Amino acid sequence: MAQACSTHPVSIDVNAIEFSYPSNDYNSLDGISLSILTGRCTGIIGPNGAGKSTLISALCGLLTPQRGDITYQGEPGVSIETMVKREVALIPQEYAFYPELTIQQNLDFFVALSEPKRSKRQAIVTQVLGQCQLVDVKNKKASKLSGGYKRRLNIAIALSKQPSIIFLDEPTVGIDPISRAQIIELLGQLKSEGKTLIYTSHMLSEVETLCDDVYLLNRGQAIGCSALDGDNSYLTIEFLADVDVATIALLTDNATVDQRGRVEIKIVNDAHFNLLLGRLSQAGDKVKQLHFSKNSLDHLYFSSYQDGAC
Amino acid sequence: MLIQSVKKEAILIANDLHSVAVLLLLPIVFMVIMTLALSEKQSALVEKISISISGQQHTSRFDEFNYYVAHHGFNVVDNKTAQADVHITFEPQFDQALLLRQSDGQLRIEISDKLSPQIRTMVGELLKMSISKLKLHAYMDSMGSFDFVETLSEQAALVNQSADVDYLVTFSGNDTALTQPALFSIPSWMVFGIYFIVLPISITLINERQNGTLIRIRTYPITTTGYFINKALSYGLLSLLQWGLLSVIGLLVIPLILGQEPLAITNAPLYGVAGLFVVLSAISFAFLLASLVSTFDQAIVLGGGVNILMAALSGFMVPIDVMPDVMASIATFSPMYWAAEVMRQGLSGEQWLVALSNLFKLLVFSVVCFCAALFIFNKKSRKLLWN
Repeated sequence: MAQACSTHPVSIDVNAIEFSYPSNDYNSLDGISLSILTGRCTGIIGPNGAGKSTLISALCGLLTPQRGDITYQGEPGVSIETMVKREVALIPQEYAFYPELTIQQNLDFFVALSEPKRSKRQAIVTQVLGQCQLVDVKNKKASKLSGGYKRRLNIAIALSKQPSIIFLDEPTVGIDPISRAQIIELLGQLKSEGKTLIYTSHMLSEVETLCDDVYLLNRGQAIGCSALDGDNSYLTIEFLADVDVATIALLTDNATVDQRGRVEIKIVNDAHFNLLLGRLSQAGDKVKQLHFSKNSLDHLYFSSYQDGAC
Repeated sequence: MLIQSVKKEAILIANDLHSVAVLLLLPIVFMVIMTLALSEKQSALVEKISISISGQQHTSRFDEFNYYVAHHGFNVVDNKTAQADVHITFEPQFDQALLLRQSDGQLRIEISDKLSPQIRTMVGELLKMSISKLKLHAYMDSMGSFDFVETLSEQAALVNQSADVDYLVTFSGNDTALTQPALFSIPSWMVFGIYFIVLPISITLINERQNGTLIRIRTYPITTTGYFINKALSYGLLSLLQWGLLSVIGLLVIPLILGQEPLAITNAPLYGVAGLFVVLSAISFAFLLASLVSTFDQAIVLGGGVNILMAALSGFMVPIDVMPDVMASIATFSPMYWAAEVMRQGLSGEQWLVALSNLFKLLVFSVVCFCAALFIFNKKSRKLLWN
């Protein structure tokens, strides 16, 4: 079964999917299982070649896994393709619109692909222009817009489809910090409206700000899953000499030791933290340094790719 | 959706100078250049050719020959002018050779190689006519036909009257404006321009593939086949508009500029249907090429190159009737040839039955190209993945 990071209802359930490109002798997706939760932002991160693009392509119905299955929440028996066409919008990293058309013309064209009624189309375009703060520049050619406005148009086109699930690929690449903040705020609003966002990016701070759940991929496998909205804290202890098993056992039963000999302990609650400090005082002569940190994606990312497991 | 699609493609074409150039400017410029180039009448061409004549200058035959050459419209210049296009030299035995055939090669003609082969041929033929008249003149003189005629011009008038054959001949089939050399090529250049829609179609398809628009569209409630057909219909309508504009310019404006009769559409329904079929074939062929190419360079080389080659093979640049038999028979297998022919048939008022063959060939060609284009487009679209 898919791993679930939370108890929210599942939008997309991915169960042990495998996919291999004909030109490759390895699986680009190697038994991935995960759940995309409704109304939350799920980050999918990992180094280049980890399988992110292949996974998203499979989730969007652009390719069919050779094994395993993907289930969209909704009517049983409805194909992924149908669900995607009905519920999903994409925001690619590229400016996926027509630069020679104005913002209004771009929106008019794309909305006509999904909404046959003219009166509804006009209402949608008006709403989306306002939502993405594009009203003042709606008659400007897309090619003449700044990077920030182009990114917003990219998002506006996706919203004009009125999707419940939105896939985003690096939606803030190449823009200034103010525009980036505005886009992050806009995406936050979408989340609060109940939209399900699936977000891929190499900018971990952005993923951390926006995402509720994060899946870490490596070599076609989901090697980590974390609910970022939890209040997890960590205590990292560096000892003067190599620590022995007895000392670790003295501290707690959920301690892990990294390659540099540092002991990392997930703090469960305040009582646990106080208990740890008390025990540490007993081994005080061996401690070189203590480091206390809140749960951070950097921590999760680097520890996952170092250890190969969540 | 079709309206939005037509609007979008029209704006994209209007904003792309290259597209406007190949769809409108290119065929118009070709029509203007070719019709202007061919509009020069033979008399005007002959007037530009200078001829110097030398040798045996004090004989009557020399003066008579000068007269006939000048009468054909050539610019006869002083024989010392080295710049003349044609030099003619009377050899000493010319007078005896003219009627009695006592020796060969008594009239030496040198035509400058700066003149084109076609003009050289024309000059040669006109000079032979002058010599024939001179020979008739000499014969009539020997027979005493000029006993009561004193001046050379009066004698020449008698010769011309005797040599006249116009009263024997009645030409038919050249009573329409289309038979004029200057206007004959107009339908060909219209077809040439219409087929160049391959470039804007290629550009838009490549852009949509490269910038993620096509992936985005795949998530919309429209199939790739539906999208492709919608796009083809949009371009079809734009191409019909282009055909209409080119028709007005080619059939009306250019002849008027040249001071000639406008090209009348003698069988208007056939001309209209011909336009539809020409557009259909051009769009289908363009979508096939556009589906094959992956880059703008490929689009320009393949789209532009194939069209130019096909135009050359179809007799647009060199008339088919002057081509060798093998090439002429190849030309009759070219869709551009069928397209230009069926448009001419509409203009010249041919019966539907005559045009049916070309219409049928265009239809089959269109269906094959469109199906192949759709297959390739769908196959390539399926391979598109999230980057």
